[in-house]
Amino acid sequence: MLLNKTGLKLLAQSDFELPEPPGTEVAGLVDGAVIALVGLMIVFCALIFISLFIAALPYILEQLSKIWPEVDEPAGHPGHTDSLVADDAAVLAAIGFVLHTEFQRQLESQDSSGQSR
Amino acid sequence: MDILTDFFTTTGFATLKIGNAIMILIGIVFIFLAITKDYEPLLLVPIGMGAIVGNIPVAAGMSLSVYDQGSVLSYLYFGVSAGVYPPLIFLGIGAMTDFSTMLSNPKLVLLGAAAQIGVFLTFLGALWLGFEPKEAGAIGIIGGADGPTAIFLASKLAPNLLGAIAIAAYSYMALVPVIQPPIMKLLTTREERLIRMKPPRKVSKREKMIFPVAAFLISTMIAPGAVVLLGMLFFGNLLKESLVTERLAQTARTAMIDVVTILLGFAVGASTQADTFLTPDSLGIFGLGALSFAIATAGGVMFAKMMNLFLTEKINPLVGAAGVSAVPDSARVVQMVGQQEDPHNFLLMHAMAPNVAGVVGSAIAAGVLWSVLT
Repeated sequence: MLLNKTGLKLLAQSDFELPEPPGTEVAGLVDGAVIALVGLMIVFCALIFISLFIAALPYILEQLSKIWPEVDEPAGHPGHTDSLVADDAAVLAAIGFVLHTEFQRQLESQDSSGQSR
Repeated sequence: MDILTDFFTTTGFATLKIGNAIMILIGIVFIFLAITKDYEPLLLVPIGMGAIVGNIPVAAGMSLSVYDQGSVLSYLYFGVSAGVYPPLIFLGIGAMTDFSTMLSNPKLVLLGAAAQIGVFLTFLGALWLGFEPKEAGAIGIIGGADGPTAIFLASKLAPNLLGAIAIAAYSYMALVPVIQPPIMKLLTTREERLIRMKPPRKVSKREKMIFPVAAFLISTMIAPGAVVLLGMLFFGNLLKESLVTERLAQTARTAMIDVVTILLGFAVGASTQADTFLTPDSLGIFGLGALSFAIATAGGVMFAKMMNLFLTEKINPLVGAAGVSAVPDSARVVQMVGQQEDPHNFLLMHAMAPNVAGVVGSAIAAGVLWSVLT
């Protein structure tokens, strides 16, 4: 399929002759050689492009950082921090409630002991 | 008495064939090697136990084996035959992989491509031996040294050879420390093995976040056949590097990959029934598998030597051997061989770059073979 698109199929179907190995058709081997060559080229091509992109990435990011400076925390982390703040507030409220209840209880016990004296 | 006699005829003792006994023995050897030699234990133990389970002969009519429709094992095997498990494993691998060393030294990516010559030369070798083109493609990918990729492509191109290909791929991956060092030493001089490489630069968070998306787009635009494997690999890596989905990344690289590895290993092992596994084709596959690993290793080393002709900052050619994508075993082998010459030379981090590039390269090679041969 891919081979047809590359046009190399024509090369594979050429009159090029190889000594026939036992039990194998020459055309199959020639096709195979073309597939192998094209396949290796595609792998190299993909990884060369990735390599070039990686090499260019620091320069791209340098330009990008002029308009969008890199911060230590990723974009999603403020949300995480917000949730911590919210949690902190809840904890503070809970501590306040416990202290209030505790002081109230102590006050009541002092009142009751004062009355008994 | 007749009942007892009838029952005996249904037992494994009465129906066991020599082939089944051999496969059970192979399963025991796998488990033994995993436990005593620590050879890929996470894979060889499930595969070994699976091979034992799959080779217990069962009475006709009892739907038990992986090839019996409706059996429990057949449902587990569906993940293998339909190519479901390998992409899930790639998700976990992506969530584990740190591409920093590759990002810090992009030229090492090419070594991951060079090692794929093992795939394509083995493909030719398989054709030469008389395998059908689809079968040859599935056999060739053993040279990618990537178990999930080999299983994925075999399930698509040659399901009949899946068991043999999977066992060959994982066996040779386990044998990387045995296969690679002699080839590496043979192809390099002592001076080359002593080359020290510059430490990798620090890679920013943004680079790590952008890379999985960009690399996925580049590689799959060129080789769309790799979209499933690379999509999951880079998705897993994005989960890790985005820093906002740590829970998902954690699950992908621990619980999920473990579950899938268990199912994959066991199902593959159970599929190695003597009738389908012990054939001359399997012997050919094992021979070609060994050859493909050797060629892939040599390809990486030789390409590194060739690059050194043009580079001012030389690469230690041993690093090229890590281009086969047996992560992280081949990188460890590079470190080991390098330290035999110079105990203070640390090549592991440099070797990880072609190692992870090899994972990408073998997935692209699989994608190319799949699209061309289908």
